[in-house]
Amino acid sequence: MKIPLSSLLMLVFATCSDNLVAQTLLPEISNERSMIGEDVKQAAIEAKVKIDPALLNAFVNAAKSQTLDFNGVYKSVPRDIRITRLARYLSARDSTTEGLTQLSTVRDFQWGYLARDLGYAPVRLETVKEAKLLRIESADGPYEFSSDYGNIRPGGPIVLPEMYMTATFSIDDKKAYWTGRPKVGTLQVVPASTSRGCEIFVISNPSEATVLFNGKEWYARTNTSSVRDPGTWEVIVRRNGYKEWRSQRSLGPGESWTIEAMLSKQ
Amino acid sequence: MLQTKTRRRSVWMNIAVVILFTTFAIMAWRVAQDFLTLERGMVINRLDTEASRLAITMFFAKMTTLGQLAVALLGGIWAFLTLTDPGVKVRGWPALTCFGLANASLALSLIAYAYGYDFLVSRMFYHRTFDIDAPLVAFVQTSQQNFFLYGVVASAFTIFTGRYAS
Repeated sequence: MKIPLSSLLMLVFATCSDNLVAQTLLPEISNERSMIGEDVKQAAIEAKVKIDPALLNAFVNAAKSQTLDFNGVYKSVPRDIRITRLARYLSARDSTTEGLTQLSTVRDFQWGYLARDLGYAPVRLETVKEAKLLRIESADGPYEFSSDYGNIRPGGPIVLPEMYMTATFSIDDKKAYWTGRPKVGTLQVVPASTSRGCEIFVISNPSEATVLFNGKEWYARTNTSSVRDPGTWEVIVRRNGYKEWRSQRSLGPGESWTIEAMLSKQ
Repeated sequence: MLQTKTRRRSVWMNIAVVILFTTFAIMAWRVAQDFLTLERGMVINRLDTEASRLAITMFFAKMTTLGQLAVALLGGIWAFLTLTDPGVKVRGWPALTCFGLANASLALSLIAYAYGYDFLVSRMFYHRTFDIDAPLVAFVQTSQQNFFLYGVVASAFTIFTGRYAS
């Protein structure tokens, strides 16, 4: 059997180039890991919290699993700022009843948050059954959460960034959306009790505000709830002397949407 | 003298029938408009208290009674005009219009009842909620009642104009 010389040469070249790529990338990956690890350690010192090696390792691994844009997002933020922001998160996480457990610490954090100057709100999830946090949509773009991180039990603590967002939870395979700006305290997520329609809960601060669903004034004022046909719903919350609040969402059968509209003065 | 009185009576009757027809047309048009643009949402009230269950039972009992009365009236007026010979003839446009209006409004009252009943039962079954103040509930209630009352008035006019025609 004759093997052409050109094929042999190609095989040798391919093997060498693979090794070359691996040799170049491995230290870089290792450097990334150690850099993130060092940052987390430093942040723990700044936040005055204890972080064990297993948690540190899980935290660093989460960066990889969440496809952290290391050269983009991570390196674009100066180290001292990164550490301060990480420290804020660790501090908020540590202040919860669960503390810095591996599961919850990794679950609640998105590395993309480091690109923004954010505070963190430790909240208790007020729900009737165990819930999973699937996704957070904000001005920064959507952040997907891995469903492997387990469920949040009713009344369980969760740390969310203090920014206007829509968080998607899964309760009993039903999606429940929450829109608002999390603040320290409780976060109420009500799963829909219907399988045909959808449910919208509107809470406003101050209350007694007028609510419009797809442009039609709703007869009850906030805080109010309503069961509706599935579809796209635009909710407007109005009150004299305050800026109008509005948001829109497509809701399918069995989905619920809890809105916490903080009305700001004009 | 008698002829003048009869003619005057006839003019007033015709005016009354025209008013009756116009009122029905306006009412039906408004109901149709409201139905197309109606807010079908309901405030979520869980049916977990004895008081809420009693209120719903009473609400449906009232709707059903009105529906049964509408059927009885519709059957009654047909029986009265066809099976007996009371000296009332549905002849001429005023009597025919009134009879048509009585039938149409009682039928619409029954349609409002049937639609509302099914809608509310499905809301309770699938959504586990009932809101007595919801716009749709108010719409169903008002439509059923208004068409029923209108049917009573139109039936009375049918007899009046039918007696005059005979």
